[in-house]
Amino acid sequence: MIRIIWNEFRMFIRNPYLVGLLVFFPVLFVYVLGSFLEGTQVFEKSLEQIEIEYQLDDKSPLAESFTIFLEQSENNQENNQEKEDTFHFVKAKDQEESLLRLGKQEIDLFLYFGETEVTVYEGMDLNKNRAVASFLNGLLQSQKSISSIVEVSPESLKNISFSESEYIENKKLKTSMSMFDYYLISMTILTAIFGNLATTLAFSEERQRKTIHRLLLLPKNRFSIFAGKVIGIMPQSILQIAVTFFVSIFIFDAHCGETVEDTVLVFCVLTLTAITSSAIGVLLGFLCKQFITVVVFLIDWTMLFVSGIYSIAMEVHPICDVMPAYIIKRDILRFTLFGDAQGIWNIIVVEIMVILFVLLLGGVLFAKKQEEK
Amino acid sequence: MQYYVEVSNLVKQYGDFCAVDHLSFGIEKGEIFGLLGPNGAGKSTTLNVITTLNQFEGGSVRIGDYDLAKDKVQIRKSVGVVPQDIALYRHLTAYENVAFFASLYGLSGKELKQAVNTALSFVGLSDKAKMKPKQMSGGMQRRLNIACGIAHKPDLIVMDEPTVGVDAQSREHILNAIRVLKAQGITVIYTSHYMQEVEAICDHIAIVDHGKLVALGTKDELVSLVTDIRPFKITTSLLTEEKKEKLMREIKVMPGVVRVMAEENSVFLDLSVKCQNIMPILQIVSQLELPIVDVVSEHPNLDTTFLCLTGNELR
Repeated sequence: MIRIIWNEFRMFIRNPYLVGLLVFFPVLFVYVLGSFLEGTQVFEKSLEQIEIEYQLDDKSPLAESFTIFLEQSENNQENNQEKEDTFHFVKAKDQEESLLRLGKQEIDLFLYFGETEVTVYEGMDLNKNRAVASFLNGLLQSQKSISSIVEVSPESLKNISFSESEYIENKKLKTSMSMFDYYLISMTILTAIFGNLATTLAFSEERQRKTIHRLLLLPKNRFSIFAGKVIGIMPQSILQIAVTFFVSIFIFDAHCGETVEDTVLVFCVLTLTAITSSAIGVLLGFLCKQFITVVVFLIDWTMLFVSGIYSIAMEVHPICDVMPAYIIKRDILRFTLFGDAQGIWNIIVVEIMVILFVLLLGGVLFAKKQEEK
Repeated sequence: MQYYVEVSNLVKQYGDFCAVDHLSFGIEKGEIFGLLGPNGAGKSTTLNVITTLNQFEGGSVRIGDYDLAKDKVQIRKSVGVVPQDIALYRHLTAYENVAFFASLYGLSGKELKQAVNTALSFVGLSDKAKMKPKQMSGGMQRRLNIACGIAHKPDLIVMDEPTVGVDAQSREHILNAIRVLKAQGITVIYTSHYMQEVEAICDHIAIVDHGKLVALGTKDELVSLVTDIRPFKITTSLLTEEKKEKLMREIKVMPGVVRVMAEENSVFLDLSVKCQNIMPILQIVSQLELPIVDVVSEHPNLDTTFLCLTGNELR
């Protein structure tokens, strides 16, 4: 069996297409998409509470509607104690005093509602400035008498920095994970699931190059031959996940857990996922002689699509709740964010059972296999 | 007589279709046995049964001391198969291919290394050990295919059309290699659609059709089944009408002569296959002071025999 295992691994590492598809492509993908998502964190930052002081000119046509808006906002807050409004408005007593406080960054913005225009005194945070500008645009849609919004403090545009650690602290998250880290997990799950595409070819390639005849004629227990084929994919699954994982961690500085032990556990569950997916691929490739790779490809894509691997916004409940890819991602994130390991251990147990089932079923069927008519 | 391979009343069915119908033959230890038949005759199915790839519905197969129905693993150990299709791993080198299959038969360490080198040397690929199959010519791949089937030193080698699509040089090398195997005491079952090959190397030949045994014997025995006449053509010159008549009159009464005919400067003879000496006939020609320019024997070959026994219809 060891010979078959070694042969499987040797053929994998000598196949440049498979190595490229299953090892290098995921690493590249993680890096490219992870880098994109680094930038999108700016928008999450802007959702924090924004302290705004304002002054209303009595002649301003906005005075009445803005007062109504503030009353409604206060009522909403009373009804829902837990929910905090993004905008916190305080009526300024003195304009000069408010602008002084803006300069000291004690408040985020100051608004003056004039007779024909609204003057926005911006603070140092570009995102907060943008959020308030968007809010004002909405408010002014029905107020044709206001001709313009004047923005003051253009120097604030120079400052677009934000602190990721500050954000994580505010969100009370367990680990210091970035979107890159989340994407590493999602992409590694994707890599693990798609590993079965290559393994569906394990037996069809044996059939195609007729070497399956030689294997069937061996003076060995055929169960051990099938087991050798399935176990033979394990090193390649481990390599596949390990390369994606370690390149992301050591080169791109990604994190998958608060401690080394947590990271190892995440690595183990992802590797086991890759092995399980690949083992299922071997079995399906053995059972079905034609088009199985195409069928598995469609199944994988459909499952990953409704599992929200690419976009959390695309999740379709409750279908995604029962999708293996979604469950694995959800439980790994629960572990990495909140330290809840129960789901991960459940996944490990189920995956080991699936692998054993594949070995048993495939081994028995392979033992009974004869030459095709 | 105790045969090394003994197939008795073998029956193999695929549903209602009987692929092998009560087939029986025996193969002696150390002989090359040719199994011939048109496409779909049941050759490959028979070989698949002998190599344990297919199960069978009736009859028995014995190889050496083992019964196929009971001792499959023992039989698999002693059988080497050279399949019709090239069955190699394209990402492995020639050495690795042979070593992989030999190792699955339990060879390891020095023994494995030696077996692989011997097998590669045997098929003339020692200097190509590091080449991958995709870098090899068709003939070299065929030879490597053979090396993979024989490296574990089996007692019985089953070769299913091992020379398909190879050039004359490779074919000659393969046939010589099979002769060497025979000299080493290895039994070979050989199938091919090239009758000349079978004629050249096989000790006994079985012809099967529609799953049944049509004929079995040596090449000469098979030929004698379809004809007992061997045609000759003697070319001479200066053949006058007078000499022609005299020549025909004298030859006609010679033993073994079935028919004689003369045309221009040629004499056409049909001799019985039992006639082993044509010297007396040539002496008659010589006594009439006729020069013997050429003597051609159109001996019936296996091709003719095969077509006579299995018919001309397309399969």
